[in-house]
Formats: sequence, C-alpha cells, structure tokens
Amino acid sequence: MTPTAWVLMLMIWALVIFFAGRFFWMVLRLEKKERNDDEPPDKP
Amino acid sequence: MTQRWGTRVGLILAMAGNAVGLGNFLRFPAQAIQNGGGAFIIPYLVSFVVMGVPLLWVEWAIGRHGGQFGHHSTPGMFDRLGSSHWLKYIGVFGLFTNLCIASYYVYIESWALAYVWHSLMGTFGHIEASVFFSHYIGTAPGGLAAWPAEAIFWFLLTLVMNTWILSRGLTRGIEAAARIGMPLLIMFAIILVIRGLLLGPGDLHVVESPLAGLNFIWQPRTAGFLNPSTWLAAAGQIFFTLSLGMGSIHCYASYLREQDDIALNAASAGWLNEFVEVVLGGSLIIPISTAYLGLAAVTAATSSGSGFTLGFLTLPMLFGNWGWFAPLAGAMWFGLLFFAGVTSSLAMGQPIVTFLEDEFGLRSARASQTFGLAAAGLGLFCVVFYPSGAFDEFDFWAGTFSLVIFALAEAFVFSWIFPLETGWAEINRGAQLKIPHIFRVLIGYITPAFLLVIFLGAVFKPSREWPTAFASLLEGHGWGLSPDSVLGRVMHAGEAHYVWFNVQGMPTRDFIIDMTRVLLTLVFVGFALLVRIAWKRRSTNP
Repeated sequence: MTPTAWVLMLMIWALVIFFAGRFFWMVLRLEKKERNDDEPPDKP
Repeated sequence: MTQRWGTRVGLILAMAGNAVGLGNFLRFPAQAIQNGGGAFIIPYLVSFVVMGVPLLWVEWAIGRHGGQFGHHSTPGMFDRLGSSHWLKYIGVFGLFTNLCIASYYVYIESWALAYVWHSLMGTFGHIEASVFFSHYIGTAPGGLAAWPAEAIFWFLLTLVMNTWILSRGLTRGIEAAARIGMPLLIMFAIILVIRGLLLGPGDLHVVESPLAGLNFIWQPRTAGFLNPSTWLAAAGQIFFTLSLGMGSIHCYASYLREQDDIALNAASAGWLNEFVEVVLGGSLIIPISTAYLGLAAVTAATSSGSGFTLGFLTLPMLFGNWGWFAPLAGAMWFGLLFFAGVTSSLAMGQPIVTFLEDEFGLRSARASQTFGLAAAGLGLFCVVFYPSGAFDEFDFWAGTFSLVIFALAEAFVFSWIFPLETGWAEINRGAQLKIPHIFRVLIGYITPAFLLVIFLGAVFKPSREWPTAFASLLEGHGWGLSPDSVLGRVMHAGEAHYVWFNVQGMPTRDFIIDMTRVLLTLVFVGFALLVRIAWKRRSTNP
C-alpha cells in the first residue's frame, strides 16, 4: 500500500471508530445511570 | 397495550441491525472499487454527514412523533404531520417498499442460510460454486421461469423464521434477535478480516498481496472526486446502507416515549453501521479476492456495482484454500450475511405487522402470518421469474427508486409542512446530544436539495458520463438515456426488439418484466386502498 492510501485509510478508520465508539459508550453510560436513578433509594 | 423497547442498547442494536445488511459487505466494496476507490470514500462520508445523518434524525423524529398518537406505521405518522388528508398516502410508500423488498430480500437471505449449510457439509469442495449457484436458483440458458425446489425450501424456511420472530413481539422477538445477531456478525467479520489480511506469498494459490485490494479502495484520486457519477453513487450508497426512505426506522422509533432521546440514539446507530461498512465491509471481500485472483479480475467481477458474484460465486471457492478452516470460514461468511439480512428483514416486516395491528385490530400472531403469506406470494414470483429479471425489477422499483421518492417527500413534508421549527424542536426534545445548529439548515434546505439531485439523477441518468451528456445536449445532439435510468427503463431504452410474444406466440422477457411492473403497481394501489379503508373505519368508529 502507498503511504497516502495508508494515511487516508487510518484517518477514516480512526474517525469512524471514534464516533461509533463514543456514541455507543455514551448510550451505555446513560442507560446505566438511568437504571440506577430508577431504582428506589435504600431505606434508612 | 403499547409495546416498548426492553433496553436502550437493544434499540440501538435493532436499529443498527436494520441498517447493517448484505449491502454493507457486498455492495459497498463493489461500489468503492467501481467508482475510483479513494475517490469514492470522501463523497461517501460527505453524503453521510450532509444527507444521511440529517435524514436519520428526521425519520426518528417522525417515528417518535407518530408513536405518541398510537401510529407505528408511516400512513398514520404522516397523517399527523399536517392537516391535508393526502399526507397519509405518502406513508403508503413505507408499507409498499417494506413488503416488496422483504419478499426478495428474504430470498437472498435464504441463499446465505443455505450456503452456511453447504459450507459446513463441504459441498464447495467438490462442486464449483458458480455451477452450484446456477443449479441452486434453477437458471437455464434461454429459460424464462424456474422452479428450484431447494431454493424454495430454504426461502420458505427463512420466511417462517422471520414470521415467527416477528410474532414474538418487539422485545422477545426483534430485540432478542438483534442482541444475538449483531455481536456474532461483528465477531465473524473481524475473524475473517484478520485471516484475509494475513494472507501472504507463502499461502497456497496467493498471487497478490491482499493489501493491493485495500490500496485500490483507499488510494486518493482527484480525477474521480470531481466526477458527478461518483457523487451520485456515493450518495446512493449512503441511502441504502442506512435504510433511509423505507419506513422501518420510523416504525422502530415509534416505540419510544415522548421524552426519550433520539439525537444520540440515531447518531449511535448510524455510526455503528458505518463502522461495520467502512472498517469491516471494506476490508473483507476485496482483499481476500485480490489475494487469489488479482486486482484486474476483482474489478471485472464487481463491474455491475454489486459484490454478489464475489460473495456467492468466488469466495466459497477461495475459502477452499484455507484447509481445515475452509468450512468454518464459509459458515462464518454466510452466517454473517444471514445475520445482516435477518436483522434487516425483521425491520421490513414490523411496519406491515404493526399496520395490520394498529389499523385493523389484528393480533400479533395473525398480523405476522399475514405478512408472511404476502411476502411468500411476492417472493415466489421473484423466485420463479428470477431468470426473466423479475427480481431486478423488484430491486429497482421498490428497493431503489421508491426509497428516493419517499425520502424526498418526507424531507419536504418535515421541513415545509410540519414545519421546520416544529420538526427541529421535535428532534431536540429529550436530546442527550447537542446537535449543532448547522444541521437545522441542512435538514431544511441542503438535504432536500441533495435528494432532489439524486432523484433527477435516477430519472435522467444518461448513457454516457454526465459532462459528456450535457455537452452533447448543448450541441443539439439530444440526451441519450441510460437503460438503467427510470425513463430508460419505462421506455425500454436500448432494446432493439421490444415484443410481448415471440413468433411462436410464447411470452418474452419483456412481457414478464412489464407484468412485474403491473404487479408492483397493484401492490401499491392495494396498500393505498387499505389505508383508505382504515381511515374510513376510523371516522365511523372513532
């Protein structure tokens, strides 16, 4: 592979993996938080 | 009782599963190769941001909005976007496309399932895949119809499987299938990508480095970048890969609550699809095929713009070089195609099922069976008349052109009738991702304009390159229509002898093609009538 092809491929892969990973991670984190918020608090 | 998604991750996987289809692994790499490799990828990503992501938000918003009024299919959703009685008929496209695409898509899905079986049984070790395929689908030279018993068996089995999953409902059916199918699909793809990229000169029958295939896809080329055809192909690919203009995204989004986020959910599902397509789909069939056949042969095999030849005829043969791993590699490849297919076909079935439930009061099982029977009828027509081109007609009118019309209509309705202020507020309600304001401009003006260009491009596609066609028109030599354009197809452009019956009085291919178009028109009219009946019933029994 030529250096320019490597650069384009790695740049686009990094962009796609970054956004796919970031948004999916946000969904996971928020779902966990929402689930915790929905649980009733422990009795004192 | 209103159905809801069980978990948010389940929703994302189901939505991503809807988008991730056979095209991610077969169509995308072939389109990239045929449209200049590196020249294709930039217009592809620009189209994703300018048209794909905005339309995703629009479709999620229309779906969630309609769901608040108890509508889970597009006629009811569009009826709620304005006061005109005609809006619900735009939604008919969301039923028509899903049923028609499902009927032939399940057929391809069934090929993948049958090929998993044959890979594990070692069939491709003693029969050439191309010979097997023509036996399997029953094509014979000059034949207009076929009755392939094995293909029909697998088709009906796959359809029964789809119907059964749909009858189990949203969480126990569709969501459960996505939770199993999507991770397996990604895992199989990663294993095959790694195995393919590790092929080297020391491996049996390898003629070129697999990286030569990747190089072709990723080498930047400025010439193709400025070609309008490259842009149209890239925008078209974004359209199909995200399952836009179908009504299935609307349907899935309609099971959200009023304050549930759509901004982040849509972005997550969209980018997950891009990961599967660009990173995995782009690194699978092209590098492996290039390693064994060379780049020139791969370019020739993808000349139709589809990777079906490589996927179904070439790869089973090439896996034969992988020794003990060959049956497993074949099962993983066709298994991932099957999972990609089934998560998409379920999304096509659900709008029909929910339309029958919402508007005609059918129970889930009965509605699923009705969908199954309708898809079986249309699908068997495609199976039997496959050699005459019925399958291609379904793919073009229902699976390509209809999507563009529906997306164009929904973009205009959302921006100008709903109108944009209300639509923008709808998208941002409950949003857990701040959407940049530029997207409001994109949704209101740029995306509809982009879609209009794609629509006109499909209708008037010339037989030559676009710049040459315009030059020819300006010089007064007319506009040569491509046989593949909408007008070219309607007028049977490029056909020397257009006749319905040959000299022996037997029907010709032209007859079957025209009858297929009549059938598709009847399906559309049938859905429009059902919508009319449903709304009449509504007005008499509110």
